[in-house]
Amino acid sequence: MTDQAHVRLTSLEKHFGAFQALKDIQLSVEKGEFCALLGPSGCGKSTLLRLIAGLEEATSGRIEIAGRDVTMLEPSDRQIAMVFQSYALYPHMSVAENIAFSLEAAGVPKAKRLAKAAEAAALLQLDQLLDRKPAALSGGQRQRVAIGRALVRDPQVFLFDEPLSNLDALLRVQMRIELSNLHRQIGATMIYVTHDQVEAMTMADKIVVMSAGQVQQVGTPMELYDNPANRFVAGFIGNPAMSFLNVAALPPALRPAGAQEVGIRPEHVQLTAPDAPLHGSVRLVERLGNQTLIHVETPAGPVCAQAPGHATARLGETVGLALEPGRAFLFDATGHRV
Amino acid sequence: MKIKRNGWVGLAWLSPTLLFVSVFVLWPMVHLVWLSFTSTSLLGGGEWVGFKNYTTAFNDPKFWAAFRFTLLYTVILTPILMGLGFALALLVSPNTPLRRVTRTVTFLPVVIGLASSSLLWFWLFDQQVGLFNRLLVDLNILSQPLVWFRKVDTAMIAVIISVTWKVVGFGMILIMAGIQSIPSDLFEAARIDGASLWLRVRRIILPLALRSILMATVLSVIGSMLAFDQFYLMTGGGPRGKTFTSVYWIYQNSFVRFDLGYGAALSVILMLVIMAMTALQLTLQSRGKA
Repeated sequence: MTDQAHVRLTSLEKHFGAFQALKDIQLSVEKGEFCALLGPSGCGKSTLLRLIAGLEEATSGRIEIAGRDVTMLEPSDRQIAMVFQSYALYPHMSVAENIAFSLEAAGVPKAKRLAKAAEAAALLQLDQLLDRKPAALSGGQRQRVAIGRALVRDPQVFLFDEPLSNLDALLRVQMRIELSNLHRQIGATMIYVTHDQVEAMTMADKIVVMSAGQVQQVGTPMELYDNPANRFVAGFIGNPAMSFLNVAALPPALRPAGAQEVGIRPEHVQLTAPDAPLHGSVRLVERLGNQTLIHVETPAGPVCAQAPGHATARLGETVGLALEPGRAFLFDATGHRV
Repeated sequence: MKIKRNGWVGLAWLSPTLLFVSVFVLWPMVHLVWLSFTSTSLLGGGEWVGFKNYTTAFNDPKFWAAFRFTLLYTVILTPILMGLGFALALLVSPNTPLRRVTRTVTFLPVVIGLASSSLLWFWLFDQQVGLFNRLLVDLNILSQPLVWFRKVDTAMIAVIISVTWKVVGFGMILIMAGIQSIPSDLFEAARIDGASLWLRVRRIILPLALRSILMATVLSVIGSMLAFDQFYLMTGGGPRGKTFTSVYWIYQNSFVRFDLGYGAALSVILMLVIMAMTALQLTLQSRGKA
């Protein structure tokens, strides 16, 4: 951790009755950084975000924002703004009223707050929609209103709780670009919860991979991809996912010492002649246009190989597999890197 | 694809409801309207008299006095029930164990019959043995026990207290359902926005729970306009017939004076007034939404 930390979480824990949702979370996010909390459903990433927002109370530990201990403060006193998965727009208020509501709560005069709302709306290309109700907006426009509501608070930290998951695939890509641009434009600190590794990889400066209430690894997208700390991170980061081979079932010549499993990414597996030491039968061929994913069942486990778009492979055919030297990841019985 | 319509199957599915409504709602209403144009007596006999019962009703000062009293009772009771119901709904809408218990306890009187609760409160207000009088004397609010039903205003207060206790839980539950249907992330967004409780109530809860509040208000107004049991059992229409409600006056004419035809005409007038009031409330609501 450095002294520049804009958000610092120290020994943060959260229990719901007997269930421990978060275990000893240590994390620091630098000023202006885009930090993604990434993990599967139920891993505690949204709970962590809600603790930072103050919507849940921490069982123990400390939360600092801009050098201030905010652990016991109300959400409105933490200088944060949050964009919810459902957008959480007030359905009976216009776009302008939605954006300006926090200013109304702060007692800002009407003219001033509407001017600020119009300013935020202009930044998000919402200026033609200020009088509309949320029901008359598209999903993307609603999302922008939610972001506008956050912008107008001028917060120290923006919190995003899976903000794109209600959008269709095309709009998601577009909003991803817009959010990245917005981050560059305003240079704010952002903490972004997602279960979608593509979102995390493409937008974040730093990714925090979580599983079972614990931080598994923190790093830049490429650090996590190139150097995963454990089997969970290795399997979670990367699309298509890494294949894991049981060392005991590998041909003796391919068995690394001291490892229980070998992990290999699809782009580091080549198809070779069927008489290669590692071989198996083709189980599935997925054609994606620019590439073809070939799933092969081997005695050591299923392996996915990434081949060129027009690669030929037939279901049931026996193929040989070659693993690119130096590209395999070795894991011990506990799932840690060897 | 063309949808195949089969009217007979639809009618068969609807028939139990249609039968029920025809026998227990439509026919009694038609019969009531017919009765209102006759001089039918409870003891038998009677003939077609046209609009005579209606002209008599419009010139009957006692009916209009009862109507005004009912209106006054409704105008006083409805804001109390809605205000208290809303406040209670705000308190008990979060699902915590203590609030669930409070909710149940507040709702319990709703399941007691109105006649039973009126009798209960009649004795609580009694000058000799009434615990309510005793409590007010012990708290030094009254210097001596009050005879609640000797004056119109104290009798009205007594009835309003008893009815509030009896039915406030009903409004509370309806409004609470409205509050609970507001997505929780709106409240969370409001917390982050720094909205005070008053601002949350005024700008979020009230507008979003308006449908439930209106429904509770309509039901409350209808209930109050049809008030009978509580006055029959607690005041007996007294003192000097000044706490007769519209329905009580209809009862007096139909079952004490045996004039069923006249009672039916009064019922039709009251029904039309209540329908008009309900329509007005619903229209105001839909205009408010637009």
